[in-house]
Amino acid sequence: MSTDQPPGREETVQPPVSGVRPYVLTGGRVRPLHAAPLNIAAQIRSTPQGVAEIGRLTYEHRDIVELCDHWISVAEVASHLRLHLGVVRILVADLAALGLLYVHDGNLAGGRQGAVIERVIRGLTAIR
Amino acid sequence: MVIAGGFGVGKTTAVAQVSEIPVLTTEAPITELAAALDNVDEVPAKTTTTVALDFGCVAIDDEIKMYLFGTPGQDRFGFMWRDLTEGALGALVIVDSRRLDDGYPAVDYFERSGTPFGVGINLFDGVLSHDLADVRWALAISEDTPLVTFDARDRRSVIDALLAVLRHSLGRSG
Repeated sequence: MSTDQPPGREETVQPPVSGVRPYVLTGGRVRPLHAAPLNIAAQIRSTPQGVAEIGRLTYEHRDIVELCDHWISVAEVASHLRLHLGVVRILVADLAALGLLYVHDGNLAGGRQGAVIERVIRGLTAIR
Repeated sequence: MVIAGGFGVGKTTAVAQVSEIPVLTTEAPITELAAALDNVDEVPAKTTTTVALDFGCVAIDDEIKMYLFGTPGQDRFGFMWRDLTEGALGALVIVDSRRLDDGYPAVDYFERSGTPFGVGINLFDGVLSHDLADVRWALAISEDTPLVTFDARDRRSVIDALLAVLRHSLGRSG
């Protein structure tokens, strides 16, 4: 039986924890103002209106709209901005409700699932 | 896809092999935040409740991007799994055959939630501590659940493990 150090050691480092508590950024809310929280793989992108209004937005809203000049997932936004994933899900839904972000839900339509899995299998096999 | 497993079992390494972007890390999702907010008085003391969730991404074709979410496999992080498995094609539970116990909570959760999953034994130093049949028995997984050995440091090997899960998902998709 080997007792060697496992080579698969997790190598990511926890980012420093912000002194600002998460609930402050959402005004104490755990739900978006007008919508259900988003899937973490949902794709988002700023709308022309979002870009036009960037100067009027406050810190986190502005950071998100700025970062989303291309399609990007909610999870990536959280990571890049070092924000709590739960907070980003709420802020993004708020911004979408204001017409400042486009949201494409990352979820697959149930009926297409089989066809999608087949494509993923083909795609992964091709880059194997 | 969800990659679950105990600490130090090779999740981040596996995600990194397949991802086109450097593995990104973020903190725990809404359910955890909600739990903290429900008891606002206690929030200032809750400074250590966040947990790292790491993820990578690979473009499958012009239209499909596959995300890989690595999540700790311990029971106490189970609150994250519902968020992660929603819309997931499947899950790979990575286990170290010397520490099979670490795999139980994730296996149990995916079985109960009906998420198609497979188990990948990360072969540290190429050593398998138990027969595959014994591992299957010990983890109490059914005959049709994929059980493969792989090396989390090897890209092809990781992709093969993911493919085993995806074929299983396809079989279950009807």
